[in-house]
Amino acid sequence: MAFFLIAILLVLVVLSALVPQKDVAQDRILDWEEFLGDGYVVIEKTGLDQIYSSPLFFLVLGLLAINLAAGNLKRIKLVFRAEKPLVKARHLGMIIFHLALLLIIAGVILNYLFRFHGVFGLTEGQTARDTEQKYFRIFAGPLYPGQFGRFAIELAGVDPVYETAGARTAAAEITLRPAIQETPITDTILINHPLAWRGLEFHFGSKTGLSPEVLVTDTSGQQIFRSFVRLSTRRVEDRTLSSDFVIIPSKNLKINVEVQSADEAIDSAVFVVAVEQAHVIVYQGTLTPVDTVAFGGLRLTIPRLRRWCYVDVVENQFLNLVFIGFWTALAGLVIGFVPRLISRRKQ
Amino acid sequence: MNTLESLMYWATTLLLAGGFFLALVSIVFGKSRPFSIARLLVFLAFICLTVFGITRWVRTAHPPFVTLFESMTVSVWFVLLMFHGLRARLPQTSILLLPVSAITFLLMGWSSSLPQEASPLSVALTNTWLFIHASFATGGAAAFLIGASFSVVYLIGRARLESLQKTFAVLPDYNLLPKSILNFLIFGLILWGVMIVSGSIWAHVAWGRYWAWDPIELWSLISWLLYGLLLHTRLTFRLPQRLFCWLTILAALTVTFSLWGVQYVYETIHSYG
Repeated sequence: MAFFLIAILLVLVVLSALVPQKDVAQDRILDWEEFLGDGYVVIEKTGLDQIYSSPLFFLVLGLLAINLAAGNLKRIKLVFRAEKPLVKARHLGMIIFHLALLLIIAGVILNYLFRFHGVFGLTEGQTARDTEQKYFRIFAGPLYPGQFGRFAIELAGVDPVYETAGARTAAAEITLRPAIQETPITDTILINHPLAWRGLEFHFGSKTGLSPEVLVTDTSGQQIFRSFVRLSTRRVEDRTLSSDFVIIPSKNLKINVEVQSADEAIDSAVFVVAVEQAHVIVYQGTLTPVDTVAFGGLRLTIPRLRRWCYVDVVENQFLNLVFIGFWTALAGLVIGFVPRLISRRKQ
Repeated sequence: MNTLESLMYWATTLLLAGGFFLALVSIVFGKSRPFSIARLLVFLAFICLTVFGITRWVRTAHPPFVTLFESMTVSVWFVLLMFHGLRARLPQTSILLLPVSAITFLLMGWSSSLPQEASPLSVALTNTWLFIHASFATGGAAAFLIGASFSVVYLIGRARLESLQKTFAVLPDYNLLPKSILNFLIFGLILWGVMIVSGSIWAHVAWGRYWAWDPIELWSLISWLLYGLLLHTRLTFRLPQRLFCWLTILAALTVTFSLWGVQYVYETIHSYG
């Protein structure tokens, strides 16, 4: 039984390594769509691009867990039947090891069902409440109870060259304001150093960059559009591109903003701006903060320049099962292997 | 690399090349003396690589697991450690010298084509889990490679192995080779499993997610499942031993790909250094 279950699991995982999966490899999905054209529909209809969330995947995992549990029942008999204490200990070690595997599988499945992972995209100085609409993206398990309104989060600042343990990285200073009247909590978060608060963890997100404020006015100074854009970095062929765009429907405008300086230094930032009106480029050129450019009766300026970053809010209620499983598995191995070594020495 | 590191690194590579050549000569021509010299050369290679690792660790102030080059040389060290440990306990396993010297020499050759400079530690790596996770990864890979080496010896064949009996005073019992292969595969499977789980715990601490189906995570899981399946085919379905040996050698290639090949094909956040 275990053989067939592992074989099915292996086939599923190998398929998922070949076919890019949704929410995991979005860039590769676009490549595949381009390559296969209409043929990509076959992949979507067969669910080959969503293997990890398919019922078959979870069925196989569940059956493997049952198989492991049944296997352990057999091993318990071996413990009682063994006469030598060392042999007993060896079987006991293997039972503990397999129970630990069960704990790990249970932890993984329960985490998947009840998990909450929300991503905030915040610009320095911005505050967002813990409501479903304020998250940039939410990955929630099917059984997540949907608790919101727990806090408000403010991004006080982003340091792109934070130094820690001899290494440089980006870090964010956040302030949490609990829903009820309580003292706010301020902390610096970075890779390896999340802020833990009431079962939630606040991790420094996977992306950060410059956030220029785009202000569009007419010639009389009347404001038409004002908002921070978030320039996110991605690889395009051989160069790194940090860009974003805004759309102003009332004027049929699309404004592309790209940072020109490679190091994204805030003091020397120069932006390449391209303005399209009804798909026709009406302005293209460089722009530094506070400068103003004019086109077609409108003025464009960047009055303020800040940084932005993602903050990941994670709730893994059952992750402790995986931790406990890991250490229990190691304990099982020690209990199982030490008697083996002792018995060999005695021989 | 400083002068001492460079010296030790190239000494290791040359000693392994010499060891492999002499072991091959010894087995092809049935002479015992070249084999004794080969054994000495491979032991000296282990000493040189140990000195190389310690020197680099002291100089960079972090364990040498950070770059692809370091990961490869540490794996070679683990393979040699297991081989010499095994040989000290069971002298008849000396015959493994031929496949072990070939594998380790190939890995050293591969590593020589990589950037050899030490990389500053990225923040994600400034964590105790680096030591735990990477030790189990390289240790697990070494166990699988030793298992594959036993398979190579088995595939030499009983007749050929018995004909070598005249040359070598002690040779492994041909009937016990399958058990040795199984033992190393089980050992490797356990180490690799611990590596996967410790990696997921570390990923949770570092990035806030314990599993993201990143290509390296995925291929590590594929290798683990493949070995699990292989063990079941042998233990439950009594797969013919020769076929099993060929499959263990193929499976060792997936481990090699998981550790060092994935980043040539996929974009991964597990990039070294």
